[in-house]
Amino acid sequence: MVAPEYYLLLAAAVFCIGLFGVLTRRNALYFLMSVELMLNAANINFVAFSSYYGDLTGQVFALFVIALAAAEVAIGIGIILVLYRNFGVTDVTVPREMRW
Amino acid sequence: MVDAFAYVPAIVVLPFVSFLVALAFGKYLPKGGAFGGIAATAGSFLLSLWVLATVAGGGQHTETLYTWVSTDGIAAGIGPQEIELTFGVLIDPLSALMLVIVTLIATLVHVFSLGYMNDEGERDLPRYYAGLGLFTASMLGFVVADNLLMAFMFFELVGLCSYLLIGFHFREPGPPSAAKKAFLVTRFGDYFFLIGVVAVFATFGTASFVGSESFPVLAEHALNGEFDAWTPFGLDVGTWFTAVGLLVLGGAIGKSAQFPLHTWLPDAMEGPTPVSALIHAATMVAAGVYLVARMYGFYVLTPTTMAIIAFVGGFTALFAATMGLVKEELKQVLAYSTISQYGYMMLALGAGGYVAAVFHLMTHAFFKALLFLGAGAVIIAMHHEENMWEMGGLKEKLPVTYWTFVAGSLALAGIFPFAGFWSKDEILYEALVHGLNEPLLLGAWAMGLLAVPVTAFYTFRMVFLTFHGEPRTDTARDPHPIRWNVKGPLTVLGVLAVVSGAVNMVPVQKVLGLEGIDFLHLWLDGHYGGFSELTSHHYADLGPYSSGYIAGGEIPTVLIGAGVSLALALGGLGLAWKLYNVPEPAEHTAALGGIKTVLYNNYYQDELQVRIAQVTAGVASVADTFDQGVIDGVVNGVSSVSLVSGDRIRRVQTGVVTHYAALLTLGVTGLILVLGVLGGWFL
Amino acid sequence: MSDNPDTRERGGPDEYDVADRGLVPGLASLLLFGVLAVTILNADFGTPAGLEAGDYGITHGIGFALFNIDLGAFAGSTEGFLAAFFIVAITLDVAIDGALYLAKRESDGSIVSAVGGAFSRGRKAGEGGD
Repeated sequence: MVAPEYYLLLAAAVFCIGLFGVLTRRNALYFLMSVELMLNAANINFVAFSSYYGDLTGQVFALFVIALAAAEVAIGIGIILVLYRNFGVTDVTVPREMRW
Repeated sequence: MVDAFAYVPAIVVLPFVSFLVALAFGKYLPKGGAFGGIAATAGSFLLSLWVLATVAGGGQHTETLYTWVSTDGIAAGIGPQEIELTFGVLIDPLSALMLVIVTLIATLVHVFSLGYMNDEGERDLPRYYAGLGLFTASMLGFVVADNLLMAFMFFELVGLCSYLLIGFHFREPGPPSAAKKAFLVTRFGDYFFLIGVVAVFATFGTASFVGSESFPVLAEHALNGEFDAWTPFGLDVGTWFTAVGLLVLGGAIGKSAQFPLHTWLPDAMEGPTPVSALIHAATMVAAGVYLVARMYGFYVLTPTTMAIIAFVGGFTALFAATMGLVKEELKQVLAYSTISQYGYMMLALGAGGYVAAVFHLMTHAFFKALLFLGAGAVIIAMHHEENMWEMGGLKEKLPVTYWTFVAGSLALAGIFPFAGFWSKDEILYEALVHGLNEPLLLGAWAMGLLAVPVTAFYTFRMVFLTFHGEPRTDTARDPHPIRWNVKGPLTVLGVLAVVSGAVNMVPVQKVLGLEGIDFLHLWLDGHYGGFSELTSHHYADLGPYSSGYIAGGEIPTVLIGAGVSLALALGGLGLAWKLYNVPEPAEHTAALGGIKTVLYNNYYQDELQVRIAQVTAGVASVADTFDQGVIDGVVNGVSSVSLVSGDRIRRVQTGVVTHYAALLTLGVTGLILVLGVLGGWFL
Repeated sequence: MSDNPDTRERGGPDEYDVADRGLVPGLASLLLFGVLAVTILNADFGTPAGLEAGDYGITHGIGFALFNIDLGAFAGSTEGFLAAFFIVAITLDVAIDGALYLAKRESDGSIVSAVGGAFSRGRKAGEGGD
């Protein structure tokens, strides 16, 4: 059996790569991809612990996460469309209305 | 059984509610909130009567309603180690009587205000009625207070309300200045009062008025050596108690307008006349005398304080009366008569005449409220002209006002058998019989006696100038009519001014040997109900005075005293009659020569106080600099720091998604680090 | 409402690049990774249990668990997820509807189709009414 640390390190790495994308990219489509990476990092953890502790729930949850990621992408794409329509760009740094 | 005492807090709260209502909704209420005020004070009056009846039926009541601060030994090493600051009510014969007086006068003043303020089309009526409500509530709170600290707080509230009401017409130049003066002068006295309150707490660890643990009782035990009271600098307890008594007396002197802190009161005439009636008869000015009466058990223990009270009172009685001689304005005369009459009360208290003082407080409340309301009626009729030389001949035009005013004036002048005669006579009698062995007290008595003809003279000078003779102006020939809401209160008070002396006809009892008609004596002696340590015979037992009689006995002394004071009063009245009850009266003040100028200028007391104030201006400016620079600086600094930092910090919110994400990331990282370090995950 | 000139000037495709923003914010993610890694390496995970496949295998087990069918060997380690399954199904449905709703827009009082108009910065002539 592979030690759980490796799974966790892998998940952390994937998550941080996704986060890196969120932090440095401006295109909303990159954002969606990065968020997908982060969600899948969580999935790795779910499955890893599921098999480590012998609990099937983690596996089922990973499935749910995949489904929710699909929903999130659907909404995200819709938001990007509206963004584009209102600002003419898909750059997430352009809309600044949500502040003080 | 429904217990009247359970409703005592309601007596105080009702006018306070009317204050809140008038303040919040006065604009929308008919008559600017007047009816709410009338209803509230009338309700308080009825409750007070109930309480009075319950006390008459043998009740007394004391209860702690709220414990504000309860400490265990924070008073590090100085004085008592446990101090409780509480709020509570104390109902004994004195406070029950005072409740009735205050609520009655307040109700009548509210009704009168309908005529004086509403019918005259004054503006800002909600503010006026709110002020009246708070004023009444503060005074009632003061009356029922069961300890010195609570009394002090309501005492200050009374001062604040007087400031608000005296300065009611703040758009004119005079009233704001008068209000400030009243506030500052009484505050000067209250400063000593505050120190006195702290001293009482430090000495006894309690400021309660009643009970075996009350400070007057503890003081008594301390003087007997049964209680170990704290004193500063190793002072003798007697000396220290005298000092504490004098400190508290400072507040009473300021509020009751005794020399030398009387200067605010004549200026306070700038307020609306009903307010003057309330201030002079029932609330503010009465508060000082009431305070001394309330803690009389403490004062009687220190002969020096008693002598000072008596002397100050006697001196003020004469001193203020002489200033009233030459005044030209109706309300000014009444103002000086108020100072003078409260001087009598102080004289009575200092002379050991506790009952006499309360008696005079009561009768004076009735006839002085009557006189002020009568003056208010005259002022309405005269279209707000107050100079008596512009009046004259109002007798036929204003019969109700005239007859009630005359009744009040006869009472004020002390003419038999009006209320003022009985109470003033008893004061002078007490001062005389106790003063035969005390030169200082005898001097105070002499001054009080001298003030009698002066009082009668200026009172009837006022009556004759206002109502008799020929009308001297067009306004006086055709006065403005007055309505029921003015006549009603005048009539009630007129009747009381005539008959209220009957509650305590001690001379009649002594001369005719009738027992049991000195109701007020019995009342204040706990005959009906009350606390044994707050009774007049208890005070008499503690007091420093012994009685002496002239002409070989009690009855001749009574008769001679009453005869002399009545003769003097009639003499003053007769002189006023001769000089001023003529169709075209002249001033006659030239006969006074140089004294006239002095009297006109009130003995230059104002100028003297201004001079003293200028001496202390240096200290004040240092304090001002400290206040402006350090105190305000700190406050402003705090606010600008939060303003600036708020302005900076809000820039974190850029509205850019990426920045929020970065902050979230850093936040999570920080959180993990903190939890990790605290939880030892990194070891 | 669309095509704000202010943002238009700054919002060209060229600026989607990382170049002009730098990678500095990304350092935060590296920092987080470092912290996570230290935490993970110092963590104690307790005793491993391992999954017992039983008669059908893990995939079977997942399917049974999703639909509350006989859990068999997994009865002790999981539970039925039928309700959650339905909720997720509804969520997905809502999401697709929401996406369609967002992708449409009102223009001059008529609903405009998402595809076509959106990617050409405004309406094409002849599309979407008037």
